[in-house]
Amino acid sequence: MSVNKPLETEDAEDHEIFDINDFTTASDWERFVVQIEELINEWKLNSNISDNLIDGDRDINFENGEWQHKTETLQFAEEISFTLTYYYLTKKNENDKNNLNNSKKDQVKNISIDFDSSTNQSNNSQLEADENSVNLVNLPPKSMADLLNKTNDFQNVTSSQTITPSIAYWYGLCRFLVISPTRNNSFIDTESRANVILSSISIAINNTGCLIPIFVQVNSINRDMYLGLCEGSALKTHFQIVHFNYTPPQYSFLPGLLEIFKSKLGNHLTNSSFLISVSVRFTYLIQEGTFLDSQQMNMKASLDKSFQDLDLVDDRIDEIYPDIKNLSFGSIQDCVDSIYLSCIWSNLSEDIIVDSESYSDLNPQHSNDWCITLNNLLDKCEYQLTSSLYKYLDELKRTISVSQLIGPTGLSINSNMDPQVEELKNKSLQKLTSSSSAARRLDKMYFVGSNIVEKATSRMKALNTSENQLPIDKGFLDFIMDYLFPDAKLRQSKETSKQNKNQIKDDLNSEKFLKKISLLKSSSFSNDGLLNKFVICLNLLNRIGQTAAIAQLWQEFILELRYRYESAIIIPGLDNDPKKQNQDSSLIPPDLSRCLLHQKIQMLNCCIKKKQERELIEKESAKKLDNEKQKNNSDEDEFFDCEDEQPILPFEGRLKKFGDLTLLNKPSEYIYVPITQESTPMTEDMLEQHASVLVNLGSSDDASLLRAKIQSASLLSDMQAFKAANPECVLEDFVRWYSPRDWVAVEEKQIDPETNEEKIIKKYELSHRMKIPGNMWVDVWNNAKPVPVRRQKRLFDDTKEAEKIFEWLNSLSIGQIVEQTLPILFYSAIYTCYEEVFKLDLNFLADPIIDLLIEKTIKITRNNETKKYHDLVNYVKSIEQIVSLMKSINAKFMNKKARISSDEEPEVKQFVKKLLKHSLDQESCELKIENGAHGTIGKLLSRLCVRNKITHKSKYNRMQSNEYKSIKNSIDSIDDQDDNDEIEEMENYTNLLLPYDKPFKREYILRSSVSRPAPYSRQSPQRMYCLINNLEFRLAGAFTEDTMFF
Amino acid sequence: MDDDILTTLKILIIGESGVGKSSLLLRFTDDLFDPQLSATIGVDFKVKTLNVEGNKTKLAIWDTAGQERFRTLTPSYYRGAQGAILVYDVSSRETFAKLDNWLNELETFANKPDIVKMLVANKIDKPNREVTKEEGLKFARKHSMLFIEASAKTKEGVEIAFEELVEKILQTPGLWENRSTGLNVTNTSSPNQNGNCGYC
Ligand SMILES: Nc1nc2c(ncn2[C@@H]2O[C@H](COP(=O)(O)OP(=O)(O)OP(=O)(O)O)[C@@H](O)[C@H]2O)c(=O)[nH]1
Ligand SMILES: [Mg+2]
Repeated sequence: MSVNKPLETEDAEDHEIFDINDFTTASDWERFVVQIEELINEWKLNSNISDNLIDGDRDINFENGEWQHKTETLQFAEEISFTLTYYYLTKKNENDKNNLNNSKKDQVKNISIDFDSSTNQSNNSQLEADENSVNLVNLPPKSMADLLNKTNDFQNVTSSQTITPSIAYWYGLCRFLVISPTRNNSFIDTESRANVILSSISIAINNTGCLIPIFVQVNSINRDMYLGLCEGSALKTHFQIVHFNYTPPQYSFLPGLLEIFKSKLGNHLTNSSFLISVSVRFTYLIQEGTFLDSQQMNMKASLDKSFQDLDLVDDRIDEIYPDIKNLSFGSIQDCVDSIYLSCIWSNLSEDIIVDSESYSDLNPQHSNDWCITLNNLLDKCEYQLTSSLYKYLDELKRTISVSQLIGPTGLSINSNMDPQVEELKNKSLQKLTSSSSAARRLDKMYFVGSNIVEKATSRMKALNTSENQLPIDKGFLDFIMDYLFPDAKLRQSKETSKQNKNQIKDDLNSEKFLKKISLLKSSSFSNDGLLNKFVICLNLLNRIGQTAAIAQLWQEFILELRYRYESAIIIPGLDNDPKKQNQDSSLIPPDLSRCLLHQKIQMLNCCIKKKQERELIEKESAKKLDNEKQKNNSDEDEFFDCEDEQPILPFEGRLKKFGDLTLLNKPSEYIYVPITQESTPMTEDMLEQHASVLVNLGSSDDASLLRAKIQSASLLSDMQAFKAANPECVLEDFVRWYSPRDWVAVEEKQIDPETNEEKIIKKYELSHRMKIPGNMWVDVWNNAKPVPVRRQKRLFDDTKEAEKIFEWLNSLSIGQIVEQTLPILFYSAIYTCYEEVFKLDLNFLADPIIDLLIEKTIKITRNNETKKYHDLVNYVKSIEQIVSLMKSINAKFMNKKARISSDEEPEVKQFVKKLLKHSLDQESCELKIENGAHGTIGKLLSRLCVRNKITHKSKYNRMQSNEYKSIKNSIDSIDDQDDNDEIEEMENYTNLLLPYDKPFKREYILRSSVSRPAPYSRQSPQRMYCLINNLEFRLAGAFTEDTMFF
Repeated sequence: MDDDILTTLKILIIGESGVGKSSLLLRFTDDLFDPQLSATIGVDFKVKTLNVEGNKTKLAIWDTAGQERFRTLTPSYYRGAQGAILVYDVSSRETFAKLDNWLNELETFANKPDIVKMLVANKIDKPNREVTKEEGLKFARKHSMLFIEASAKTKEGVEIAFEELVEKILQTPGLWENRSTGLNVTNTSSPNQNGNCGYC
């Protein structure tokens, strides 16, 4: 086939071909025609009357309507198939079929054709005369009238962002049929074949009385070429297209195009006998797309920043390493591809405008009809948070353990390594230096030696083989650990001041957000808790490094925890309630509303705390013992002096007075609240085990009793402590403190012995249930000996528990580490999303997504549905898209160059947000600009484009002279106020809009009402759409002629 | 053996000490009122099979101690619960006033966000009422809970309270799909008798 040789469509107008009547020999062809007719009938496009009824509602236009289509297959001969597609406009959100039926009711009302009311008065009046004299059937079909209707000019997309089919766009048609070859079928590549199909169409139209234009697609599909035909009321319109991939110079401006148009209309016409109305749209490219795929982007990034040399000076350390404090967010690329500005001048008279190579009357500044088109790359861009989350989730499948991967902290490597290990190891980059940095730093800090850590490090030294393969080098690892445990850093003050950057302002919305997100079963309630920071680092390392990096940081982290436990140093950053943190006296049990990892570390803190206390007590009692020994030696006889006196009952382990209540049996003594054993801290997995023990006892009464017994250990401990603190106390005293609601008032009538009056006296006594002999409480009370807490058996064995936790931490495989950290990572991800949204004031768009995301995450984190985390990432992606696109758009329109005054700001913001909203719906969105050049936005655009013309030049200067000074001069001369800005923004070239001096694309619509083919024919609609840009030249003509008076 | 059982549900009973939680449960499971019942230590639980509209449902009902000192532990039993019964004592305003705390606790520790909540006003047989029915209703409406007045002693309202709750849970999609959810702890093998729990 001949793609390069454009189909000469003029030839298709060869009328002879439509007069063929002899198709007896072509039965294939006959059947083809029948198929078309059947579909026309089926779709109810056959009757004359239907023409004005189907889209009877005349208010539907390209802007407010919505495009629909139906498609059926046609068969030509055996092997060649076509599709017949019916395109039509419906009202937004309305089912087309309903519409069809409803509109049939009011027939007559709708039949009034707006047959070009503005340009050609004479024409109009004649048609009106027609309308009155001729019956309805003789009115021109609506589709012909549409050719002259201007409301649909240059309407690429409807307001609901459905794209106008190109045929509709060129001709202004509201409905039409298209026959297209199916894929891989290049049947209609010759004129004769095109004509065969066209003849079929002609027959079908005549047989069915269809008033809707029917097109046939010709030539190769991507050239978008059609021939078409519409008949009705003894008028016949031919649709033809000319398409070149270059623009013939003689036709590249309006005069040349007018010439073509007029010659098509017929040579019998003199210039004065009719008027041609011209509508023009020029489209300017004001932003060129510069898309780099992620690989190119990475190359650029690695050029920008080099992470290679890590032995740099301390002060600049922040800039050498990647940002470990925040999750990277947003697209690396510019999400805006290209921006076009279109300016429309409608309904011009052909003879008053000049449009030529050298001069054009068509100045954008004089158009009130502007429209901006923004093409985005949302689907192509790579989003940092999204992809890092996916990558992290990918690690879930790894069953390899940390020590398998990078070698154990203390032991020699397993010699028989599986291939997966081998592979991962080989991928590793650099080595970890010999010693544990955390341990060394802490030694410096606290001057506490630790055998274990030293042992560990020295053993690691011996393990040189695996060192060579560790991915994170020592400097970076130190940097991370310093950040995670700032209390170990010598420059403590500096660090803490840096950290207080809470970007979420305390407004109502944020408060709501924080409340919602706190329901996640995660780590800390703010994003700067220890585990949040840790997990952000893990995620980062996984993103830039590989699996081994996770293992290495994890190991280092455990080492640090181990060190802290050995040295009894509390782990910081777990409890975000600062009040709680300072309350050194109490031990905070694991918070069951937090994730398991958080609970475990909290538990470890409990152990550390207990250890501190134990060591303190041991020290003190050692001292006491010393003192007592000395005392006993010196004043041995003092003891006997008080022998005769009533023995003072010794009390032990008092915490504080219990209000001013006194003992019932000894009213001179206050009741004291004893120091109690903290209730045993437990993490949820421990509790679950505990619960299963209880459940397994069964549900009988005995089982209930046994359960109560099992759980009465802490009751016993409390009772013992109470007895020790309050000698001579009774159960009633205990109940008053422990279960005040079981100390009930009873009213008792009493007769006053003196006055003999009845008085009601309130007496207190134990509640009935406490009085029952042999009940559990009494039993336990009777068995309780006065024992202060410090002499009680420890309910909580910190050494054992700590070891269990380390065992657990060390046992986790990479996949399990990921699983345990996911709740925290997603907390941080959502938090980051909100922060970004909040910064750009995009809550109106993103809040519903964030709310949904939080809701889903709450469920997933609380039910440990690890598999479902994947589903969450899409929400994160949507938010990243919104924010990234907003950033890109802002960079274009709201940069310093825009000089937006405070008056303009609200409108500009509104515009930018509208643009964002539309862009999110559509890869290429069009937005009308109110008042064109004269509106606020128009002025802003003019400013941006004009200004950039200047910076453009200076950039050019720089490139030419390659000398900084000359740019500086050139800029100074243009704008001496903020030359710094100029330079800055020049670097960031993508922020600039291009000047609109040369249109990127020009479109013209020429139309007229003309008597054709003979001077005495009725006037009929003629139209030609022209498109010119540097890629193509297209003419889409629709020429009508009278078939009655010719 | 449990083949005809539609599902197993986990239900919690919470509220201040002495409001009658254990008594309500006993009334429901054994149709008894036992004045000899002692104050609950830790948690206890009972099982009962209920027939709601032809569906046999196994209920594992966890009764918790209301005492302050036991509170640190009880929330761990909230996990996996599909229903929660909040009890107050109509003869004690204080127990009504503390309801907010209990709701908070539920919100923090229950892992099913759409857990069905029922407010039970107990001890309506008592003469010295301090909280009116209207107050109870208002509170329940404010927090979208079911509400019923009951007495463990006279039996009034007890059975229907549990039935309504179960019916509501069964009507809530996605709350009970899994047969084993209610008692998933029973599935954990080999009870580790010595050691893991602090009270052993
Ligand atoms: N009059 C009356 N007394 C009741 C009712 N229900 C419970 N009681 C009494 O209230 C007291 C406390 O009842 P329990 O069932 O042990 O209370 P609880 O809520 O389980 O208390 P804790 O286990 O400590 O949390 C007992 O003496 C019961 O006899 C009731 O409906 N009416
Ligand atoms: Mg009880």
